[in-house]
Amino acid sequence: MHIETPPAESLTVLVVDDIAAAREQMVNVVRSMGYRCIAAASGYEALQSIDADRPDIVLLDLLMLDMDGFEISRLIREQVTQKWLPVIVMSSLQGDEHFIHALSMGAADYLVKPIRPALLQAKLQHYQNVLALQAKANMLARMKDEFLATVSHELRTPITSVVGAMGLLVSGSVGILPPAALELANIAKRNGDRLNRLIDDVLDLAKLENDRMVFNLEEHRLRDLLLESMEAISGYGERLGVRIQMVACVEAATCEVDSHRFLQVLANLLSNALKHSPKGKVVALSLLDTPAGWCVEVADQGPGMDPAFLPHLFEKFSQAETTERRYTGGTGLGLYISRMLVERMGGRISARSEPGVGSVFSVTLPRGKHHE
Amino acid sequence: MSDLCRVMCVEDDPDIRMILEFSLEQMGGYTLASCASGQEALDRVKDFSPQLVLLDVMMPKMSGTETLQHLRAMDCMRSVPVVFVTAKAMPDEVEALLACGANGVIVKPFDPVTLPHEIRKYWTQGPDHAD
Repeated sequence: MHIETPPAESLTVLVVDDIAAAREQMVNVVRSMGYRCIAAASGYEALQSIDADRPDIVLLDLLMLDMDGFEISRLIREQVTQKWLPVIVMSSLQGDEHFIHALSMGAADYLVKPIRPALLQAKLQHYQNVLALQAKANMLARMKDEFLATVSHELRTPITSVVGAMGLLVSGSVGILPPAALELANIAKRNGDRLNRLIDDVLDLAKLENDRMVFNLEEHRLRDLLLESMEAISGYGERLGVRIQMVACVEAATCEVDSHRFLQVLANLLSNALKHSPKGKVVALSLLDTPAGWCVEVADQGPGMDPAFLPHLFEKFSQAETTERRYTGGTGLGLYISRMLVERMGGRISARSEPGVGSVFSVTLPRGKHHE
Repeated sequence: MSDLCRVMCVEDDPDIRMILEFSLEQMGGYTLASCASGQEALDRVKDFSPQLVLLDVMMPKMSGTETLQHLRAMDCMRSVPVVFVTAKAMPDEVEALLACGANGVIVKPFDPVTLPHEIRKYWTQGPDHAD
């Protein structure tokens, strides 16, 4: 990608040095190059200035009295998380060990004192280019998010009409359809629903893979969320003739999760279990106390899975070939998204299965702070 | 206390409007005022006096949130439940819509078979339904 160097005055440089003469000299040099320049006389002042003045780049003397440049580099990296703030450390010390250390602590680059103005200017220009590229990349990512949101909304409008019209037709409320017509209308309805789920999944996927999904983590009682998920999906179970039963539950278990996203994972696991269960069977839901944390298990009495398929279960677009070739209406994204959601909330997801006996999906979550 | 019978829906897409009519009028048995724009809703609200309003969000000219503001500014509409019907269903979007003063959010695609029943919960939740 070609990028033009932005004008020098658009870059604000923070000079950090506790020796007044050295600081003033550096400020003058930087200003003479056309950059905006501010100064701080201590590590403490530097951290305050980064908060208040939002500089784009920091020139930091490694040897200072209140805290050394290594510590400041580390604190800057901790403090500035929303964007990248390049720190160039400066020192007149012999050898390069301290530069290596500073780079490992989060500094972006270094300059040996006495500093040649030409080299300083070249480095400032280089980082200005990198920052401009980064700003452009951020803007493109934002535009992509907006585009996806708009497209998904535009797609849902016709889907609402298709699924709504088919729903009314198959419900019989506008007249009884002949059996063949009903079957065709059901196919259209099912696939309309599936199209809608695909939109949800693709939106989630785009956000997760670009690390742009916001998680609203709060301490929740897991039992309450499990009951809510059972309630939400009970209608689907009734239609299939499969029941969900809570067979074990640690009542006091709490965990920091995004409730909406955790319910999404449970809905995915429960609906998978329901649709792979033979009519009349039971899906067992349990909440267990294990050494690794709280463990939510969803066990079905379905046909089970081929052991060769298990390692690929949580990959994108993976769907097992079922022996029954039964229509399941999946998108091939559900378990992949569930895995990413669980991992982003600090947990792990796994599965075990025995052909002819059934499958068990487990989500293990770290224990919450306030569990009794 | 009278039962819920007069429902107003505001939706710019004619096909979705027709599905709402099938669902709420034919199946639900409600008396329905079906409006194609926020302006039409504002023009008809006094005569029709709805007990519940279903409001699309993304509409040209006057959006659902703007329509809601105008409705809430009318004395007769201050406490009538208004429910958004929208494809903007991300948790933060739903929260933002509720913060506008709506009583609920129904996500598109909605199920027209269960909709007549579903909207009742917003009716009973309404702060003042003795009209």
